[in-house]
Amino acid sequence: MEAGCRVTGSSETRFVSLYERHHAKVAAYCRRRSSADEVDDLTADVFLTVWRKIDQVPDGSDVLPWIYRVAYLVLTNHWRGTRRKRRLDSKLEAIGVVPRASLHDQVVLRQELRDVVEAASRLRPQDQEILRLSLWEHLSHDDIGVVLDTEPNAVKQRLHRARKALIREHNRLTQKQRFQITSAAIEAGE
Amino acid sequence: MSNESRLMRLFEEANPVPDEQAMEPTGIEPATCLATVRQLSSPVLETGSGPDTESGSRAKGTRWVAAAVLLVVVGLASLITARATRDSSPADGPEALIERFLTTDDYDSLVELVTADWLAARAPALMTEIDDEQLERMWSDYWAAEEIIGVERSIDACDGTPETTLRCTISYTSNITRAMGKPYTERSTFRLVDNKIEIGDLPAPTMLFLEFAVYARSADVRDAFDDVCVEGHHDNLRLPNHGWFSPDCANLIMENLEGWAQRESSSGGS
Repeated sequence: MEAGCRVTGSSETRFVSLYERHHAKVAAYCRRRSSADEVDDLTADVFLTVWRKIDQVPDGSDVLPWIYRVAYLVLTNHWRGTRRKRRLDSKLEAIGVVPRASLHDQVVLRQELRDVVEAASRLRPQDQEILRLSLWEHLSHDDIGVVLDTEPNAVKQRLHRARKALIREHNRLTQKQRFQITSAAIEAGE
Repeated sequence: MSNESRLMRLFEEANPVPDEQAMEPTGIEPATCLATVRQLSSPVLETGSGPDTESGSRAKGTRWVAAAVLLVVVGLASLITARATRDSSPADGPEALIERFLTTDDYDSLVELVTADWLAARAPALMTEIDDEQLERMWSDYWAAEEIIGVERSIDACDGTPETTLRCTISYTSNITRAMGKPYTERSTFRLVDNKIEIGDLPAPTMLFLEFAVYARSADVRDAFDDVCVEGHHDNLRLPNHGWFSPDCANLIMENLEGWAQRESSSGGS
C-alpha cells in the first residue's frame, strides 16, 4: 500500500477488496457504453459512489449487480451531459472546428456487425441497456432486475420486447440498404 | 440458425470489450483509487500528516474554503438543515456534539478545519481560488436549498470511541424521501478532537439524487435540470456527477416531485 493511503478500518479494507475484485468488470461496463478516453473518469465516479455507500453494499453474489446499478445511474447521468456536448460539437463542426472522433468511433466493424449495432442504436435506451446487460454482461434476469431496479418477470418481458425490437429495426435498416443499392443500380443503368 | 439467434449472436459479437480482464491493469491501483475517493469524499480524513492544529490563527477566508469543500465533497449532503440552534452542550458527550453538527449552523465552533494549503496539496482537483463572497453565497444557497426540500437529520446510534473513530447511524428525511417512500439512513464516520469534529462524514441519498437525474433526463425538464442542477453553478468546484445543490435546483425537484414519484411507482422504480 503506497504512502498516504493508510488502510486502517474495515470500510477501507472492504473497499480495496471490492475494487480489486470488480474494477475490471466495472471498467468494461463503462467501456461498453462510452468512449475509451472516458472510462477511467467514469469508473472512478462509480467507485466514488461505492465508497460513499460502502455500508450499503450488499454481500455475496448481489454485490456486482449493485455496483452495476451505481454504474448505470452514473452512466445515465453522463449520457445527458454527453448529448449536450454533442450539440456543442455540432455547432463547432458548423464553424469548422471538428471534434476528434473517439477511438471507438474510429473502429471499423465489419458490415454485418455495423448493421446490428446501428439497429440497436435505434432502440429506446432502456431496450439497448437490457440487451447489453443480457448479451454483454451476461447477467441473469434476477441480476438485471437489480441493475434496473425492477422485477425479474418484468425483465423477462422487457428483454423479449427488446429482442423483437432489434429484429424489427434490423429488418428496416437492411431493407432500406437494399432499396438504396437497387436504386443506385437502376440509376447507373445496370 | 434463426434470424433472431443470428442477430443476438452478432450483437454479442459487437461487444467492444469481450474480455473484461483486458481492462486490467489501467494504471489505477486500488490504493490510488482509495486515496482519491477518500480525498473526494472527505478531505479531512487522515492521510499521514494530519491536519494543521493551529486553527486559532487561521483567517476567516481559509476557514470558509475548507469548510465549503468539506461540505461539498460529501455529495449533496449538508450538515445544516435549519437555522435554529438546538440547546445542547458538548459536555453532554460526543453524540450531542454530532447532533449539533447535524442540526445547527454553528459549525465554526464545532469543526476542526484543515488549512487551504493542506487541502490544496492533497485534493487540488477539488478547488481553485474561491473568494469569501462566493463562498458565503454558496452557503446561503445551500441552506436555502435544504430548507426548500425540508431536510432533517438525526442520530440514531453511535459506537466506537470518540478519540479514534465514531460510527453513527444517521437518519435523513426530506420531502423527497417521504414522497418517494424511501426513508434513508447511513452509517457515518466522525472523529472528534478536543470537542471538535475533525472528520465529518455526512449522509445524503446520493443514489436518490442520481435517480432524479435519470428521471429529469427522460422528462420535459431535462434542459431546465441541466441548467439549474448541473451546469453553470460554481464551476470552480469539481463535483463528479453532482451539481451544486442550489435553491433553483431544489425548487425544480419539488415542482417535479409528484411526477417523479408517480413514474417510480408505475415503473417499479426503473
